Amino acid sequence: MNATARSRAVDGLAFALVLAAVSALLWRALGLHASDAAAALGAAGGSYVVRTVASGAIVLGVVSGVLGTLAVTRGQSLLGDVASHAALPGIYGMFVAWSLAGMGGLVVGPLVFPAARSLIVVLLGALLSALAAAALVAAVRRRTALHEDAALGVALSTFFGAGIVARSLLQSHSGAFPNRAGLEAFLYGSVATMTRQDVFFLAMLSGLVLVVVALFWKELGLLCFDPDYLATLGFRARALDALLSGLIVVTVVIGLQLVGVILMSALLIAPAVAARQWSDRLARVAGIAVVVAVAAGLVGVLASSSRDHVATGPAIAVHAACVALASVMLAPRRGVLWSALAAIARARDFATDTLLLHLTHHGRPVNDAELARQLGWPAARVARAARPALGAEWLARSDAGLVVTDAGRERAVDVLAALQPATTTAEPAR
Amino acid sequence: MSRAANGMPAGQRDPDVPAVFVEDLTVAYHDKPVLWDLDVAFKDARLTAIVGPNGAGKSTLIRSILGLVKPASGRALVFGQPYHAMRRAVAYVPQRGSVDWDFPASALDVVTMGGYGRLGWFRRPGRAEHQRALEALETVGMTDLAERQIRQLSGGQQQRIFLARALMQDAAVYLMDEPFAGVDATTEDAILRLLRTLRDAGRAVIVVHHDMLTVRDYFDDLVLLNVRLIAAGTIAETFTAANLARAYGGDIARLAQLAGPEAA
Repeated sequence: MNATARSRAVDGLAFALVLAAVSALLWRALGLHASDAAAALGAAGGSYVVRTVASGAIVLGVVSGVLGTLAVTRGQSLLGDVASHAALPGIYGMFVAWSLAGMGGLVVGPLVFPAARSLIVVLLGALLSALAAAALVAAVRRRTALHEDAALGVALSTFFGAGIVARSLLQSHSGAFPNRAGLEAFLYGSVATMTRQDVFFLAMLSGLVLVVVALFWKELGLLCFDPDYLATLGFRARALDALLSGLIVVTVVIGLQLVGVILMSALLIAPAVAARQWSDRLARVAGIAVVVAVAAGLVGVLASSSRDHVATGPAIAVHAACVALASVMLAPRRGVLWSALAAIARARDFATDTLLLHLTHHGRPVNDAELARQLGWPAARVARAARPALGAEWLARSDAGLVVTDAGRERAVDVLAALQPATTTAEPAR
Repeated sequence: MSRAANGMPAGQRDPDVPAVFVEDLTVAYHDKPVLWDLDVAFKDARLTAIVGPNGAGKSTLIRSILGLVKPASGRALVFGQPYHAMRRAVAYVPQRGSVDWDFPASALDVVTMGGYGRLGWFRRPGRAEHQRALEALETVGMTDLAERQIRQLSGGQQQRIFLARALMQDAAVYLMDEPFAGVDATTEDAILRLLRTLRDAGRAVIVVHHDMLTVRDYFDDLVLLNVRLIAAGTIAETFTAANLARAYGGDIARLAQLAGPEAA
């Protein structure tokens, strides 16, 4: 096994540990026990309801892992947040329109009109208003001097506010719309309302999204890295950008029933953020994000199915967010903890090198107290910096103090050579 | 590189048509002109520098030629045709700072992107593209770093990756935006040698350049800009104290030193 394969295996093991630890800790924090997990998994094999929502979670995890990776890499993370919040007025609006039109379960010849509460009708409304919000953001960005974040903020609050107003209107006219109970699921997400037909429909939609992504994978990747270059190669970069935004919106809509409008963007963004910590290749990042999103979805729906008080969307969002947080902290090389340890090691090496260069420059032995004075260091720091150099026999201890050995002088030459700058100017600001 | 460049079959080339011809070009952002009524031609087998102060429209000129910026009036032609008809004859090296180098890709992945234009929609890079990307990496002396994540490369190495990506396109015209910015001396030498090789193979090499001290040594031709065209032609004709003063304003004596004795 070569070094790359070994380091990849270690990374894989560390990732599996992080994922398992977060899942187990969250499971306990939600007030569930190992026996509940066994029961839920047992039920997943047997119970129709649990099997249905678990399949729904897997479908959703796959599509949001892939699209989330593209969204985060393209710098479009907040578009998912806007799209999910903006879906709310469409959900209520379409429900009311469909109810008033009286098309509940109507069959006219070969045409079957689904009931107003049915997923396909409600999600169509969600899709329309989410796309309208995305179009509004694009228009504001293109035609005004506003920054994109302002456009996103305006679109999110306007549409979500309209949705909440529609919800209270619907509540005050509850007599007219007896079927509206199921709509509450779309706020925080729910496992209670999902049927096998729903899962089938969502799987078809997800499959469609994934086929489009697979067809345009090469172009979408370059769009995320260097859209201008993509355009110079003759590809229609603007159209691809709109396509990617549309796919992100559809992915958000797919997750609304299980996760809800408020937290759906977490399932889009958090797994991609977590996955980026574990790989430096786009396709692999997408694969890892899928694993995280599927795990988050499964833990969320199984916990929510086992305990009524556990809301599905928040459980999924918290799981994905915890995996992201743990990955940002702990992942090898990129993790915060890793960088901090590396910085400490660098500082220690730097102190040792400084001491070595200082003594080389001096040429004769210097005692510890004098060294501390010359370098302006506490005595303890001098001793700490000397220790590795003494171990490597770059320095030796004589009666008159520390002195450089021949090996130390060679090392000092190497250190000085390495100090020659490799590049002349600083990185341009991003 | 003696064979014909991509998109440019040999023997069908009218020698009187310049590689890039810019005619009456005006570009404005929000009604403020950044390029005004520009007429300039770029020849093949020449190394041309585009020089001018900050905000002179140097990058905008390149981006207009590439069709990335829509002109308010006028046009830019590549071998006498609009860009979209000749895009396979043109390769672009953007400013290094224009992309996020934390993008999850290896050096080889980025170089392979240079083959996407020839592949077109839907087709994925295969063994042939892989092989050509490795050759391009070898040309810029980066073979050992093919699998390195791009964030872990130095500024000079990142610049060479962008050059290798453009070499993948095997174009007749190379448009480069500040390829010498922020690179170490070794990379600067390597880039210069590469540009000269391209020129000697008959390619038009057009470079936005910022270092006045090296203009005379590095380039054959000069396009001096400050929103309007100040001068265009060979270095000997155009790199003069008077022209530099018109482009930059300010201290003519200091500029005269830059321009050198024979141009004074």
